[in-house]
Parts: sequence; structure tokens; C-alpha cells
Amino acid sequence: MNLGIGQTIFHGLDRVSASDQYKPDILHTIYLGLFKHMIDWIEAFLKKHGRLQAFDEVWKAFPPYPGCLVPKKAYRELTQWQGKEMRNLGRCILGVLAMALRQPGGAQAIPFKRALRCVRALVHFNMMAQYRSHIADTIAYMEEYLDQFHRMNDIFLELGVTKRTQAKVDKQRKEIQRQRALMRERVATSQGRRMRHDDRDEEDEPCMDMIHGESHFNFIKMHLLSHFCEHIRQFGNIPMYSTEIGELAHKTQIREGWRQSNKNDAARQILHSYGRQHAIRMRLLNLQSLKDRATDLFPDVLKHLDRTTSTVSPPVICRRILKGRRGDVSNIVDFGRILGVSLEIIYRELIRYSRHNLPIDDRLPEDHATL
Amino acid sequence: MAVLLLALLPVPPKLSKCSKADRRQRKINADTLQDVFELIFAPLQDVPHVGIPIDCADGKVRLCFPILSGWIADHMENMALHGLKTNACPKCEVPTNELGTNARS
Repeated sequence: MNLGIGQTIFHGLDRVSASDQYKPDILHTIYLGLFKHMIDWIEAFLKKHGRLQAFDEVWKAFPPYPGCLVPKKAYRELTQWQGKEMRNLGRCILGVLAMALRQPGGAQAIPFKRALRCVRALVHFNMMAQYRSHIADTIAYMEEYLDQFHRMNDIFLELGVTKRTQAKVDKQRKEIQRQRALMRERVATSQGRRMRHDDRDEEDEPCMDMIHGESHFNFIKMHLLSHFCEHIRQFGNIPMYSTEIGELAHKTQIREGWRQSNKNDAARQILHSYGRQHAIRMRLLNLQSLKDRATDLFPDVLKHLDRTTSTVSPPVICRRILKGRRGDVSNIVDFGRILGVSLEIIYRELIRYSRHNLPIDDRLPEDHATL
Repeated sequence: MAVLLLALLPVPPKLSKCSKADRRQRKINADTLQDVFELIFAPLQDVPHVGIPIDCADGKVRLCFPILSGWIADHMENMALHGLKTNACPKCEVPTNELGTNARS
């Protein structure tokens, strides 16, 4: 069975169903999953029908449009796709593909049509999955698009050949060639040459059969799509469960926390640092709203509140600049200028430091004007 | 949506080989992860029954029964969380060779 380990933590919790914990994830399932596969399919499809050049030209000539980044690089030059680029791709791929596949010749008409319909169904499904609110009709549309995608995607079946299948096919081809060679040894040379020519055509046929038989779309991201509609009915729209928020939070909370820690038992510091900031921010908001309602507050609280609200966030940039050596700082005046801190504050801090930490002989004069 | 950092999970180094010792290490890693989850969820064990007073935005204190209702993760994280094999669906019991079909169960 599919079960690997057995009991999970969810079994112990009340009113929690483990299967409901799964939330559909547009970023990983569609953008980094199916769109990525789709790119491979489309590329192979275009190569097969000799339209790769046309596609690249249309791709590069894509005009700028609000909310739609102009693809900077050619289609094939991009190796690492990011979520943002994928979203962009989802917006323009259909039009570009339709342009590249225009004027099909004779036998190409049907596969071209099927490929376009397949891509269109997937793109539409993606667009509708991003709706912030749904009615029965929109969910029905989504299901229809998904059905259509699954009906049409056999056009790409032979193109998404996995490495394992390819290896099998190669093995089979070699086997056939070996058998033929054995046969050929027994017949005369002139006859053999004619046979060799016929063989080449015959070789391809069982190989194509094999590719068709072995290829499949049985990977998990293909399946996860089928739970999207059901999930909307149960729990509401999909974008609110997107992992993008979590990934962003990773950046602000963990990386910033790591940077602010002293790298010693960092996990604890990271956990605390954001919690502390969060608590203080909440406290400030509470005090602010109390002040707005003209509630009586202590004068020092009011004073502090005025100060913090005037300089809302600490200047992040200052901390960044302080990393490493700088050539353009020769004296304390330059230093203050680069940090964006006035000299008076620096002097005051220096005096405070000297008063607390230095022996009496080394202390700076108490008045900062004399410095 | 508000995101709060609750815990940092231990990430063991990846194991490439498939020897007996490796398999055991893998099992230990998975068990450790589950234990960590158990630790995180410990406060949630009783609250769905007895309730917990929580400050409300309107200034009142209300008796709440918080229930764990979702786990946002990508596929591999889900697999580690539920303890499944990589080609299993976290939601239903679809067999591996039917993943590509559009069968809804």
C-alpha cells in the first residue's frame, strides 16, 4: 500500500481529519508542476512538427502589457523557472502557441488543434483556480476544463518520455538490430543491403508502440488537480491556501531572524526575535487605538508612542551598510552622513558609552558641543 | 492571513544509499519528525474538548475551541508530515497507476 510509516500525529488530535489537512497548492502543483511538464511537452511537440523556430520568434516579439512581463530571454534559454515567470508564462503561452501553430499543413491540423485545446484547458483551469470567490457555475467550469485537459492530453503522451522508458526502448531497438544482424549473416550481401533498408522503417514501429504503451501521466501532480474542485466546495477559494505566503514568511521571519542572531544557538533566537517584534507591534497598535479613542494613558506612554509612530520602522538600510569595510569613511562626520544619523546623536551615544563603561581618565567631556 | 513562526524543524542530511543502516536512519529521522510534531501539537490535545479563553478583537474574552484545520505545505513536505510514500495522494487512496486518469473518488 501507499502507507510508509504508519501512525501520524493527526491520529491523536480530536476533530481533525488527516486527509483534510492537505490544501491545494497553486505554486507547486500548477506553476512548478504541470506548467513545467507542459513546457517540456510543448517543446517536444514543436520540435516534432518543425515549429520551434516560429515559436521562438513569437516568444521574443511579445509586446509589453500591464501586468505581463516581457520575456527577456528566448524560450529555451531559461533553465530555472521561478513562480513569477511561470505565472507570466501562463498568461502568454496560449497566444504564443496559437501564433506558432497557425497555418497547419494537411495532416498537422488535427494534432495542432488537440494540442491547443489541451493547453487552453489547463491554462483556463489555472485561471479559474485563482478566483477569490466561486459559485456553482464556476466550479462546474473548472471541472469541465479539467475533463477536457484529460481528454486531450494524450496528444502529449509520447512526448513526455521518461528516462526509464527511453532506456527500455533503446534496449528493445538494439535487440531487434541484433536479431536482424544474425539473420543477415545467413543471406547473400546484395540481398542483405536491400533488407537493411526495409528494416529501418520496421524498427520504428514497435518502438513507437512501446513508447505509447509505457508512457503515462501517472505522476502525483496530475492527480492532485482532481481534488481542487472538491476542496473549493468544502473549504473555499484556493489562493488563500497558497504556499507563496509561507515562502515569503520564510524570507522575512527566518532569514532576518538568522541575520539578527549571533549564530549561537540560533534556532531559539530566530523563534524569539520575530515573536518579540510581533508582540511589540501589536502592543503599539493597541496603544495607538487607545490613544485615538482619547483614553487616559500615562504621559510617558504617550511620549513614547509619538516617537515610535513618527519613525515607524527602524531604518533597515543602516544595518546593511555596516557590513564589511568601506573606503569612503575617513572620520566620524562621513560615518554619520552615510548612516543617515545626525552627528549630535552619535556624540550623545559616545558620551553615554564613555560615562558607563570607561575609567574616569578616558572619559569624554560631558558636553557634546566640545567634541 | 497572519503567519507566525512556531518552531524550526530538524532537517537531517539527505541519505542517498539504500543500505540497512541508512534505512534505519531514515526511520529514526521520520520518527523524530513525528515526535517534534507531537511536541508542537501538545497544547492542542485538550483544547478542542474543554475550550480556552481567547481575547477577541472587540475587547471581549471568548471561550474558543480551536481545531487544527489545515497544513499548507508542498508535496514533499506533506509526504513527510503524513508519513506516506512519494507517489501517494495525501487526500485519497488512489492507486499509483491511476494517478493520470481523471477519476474522482
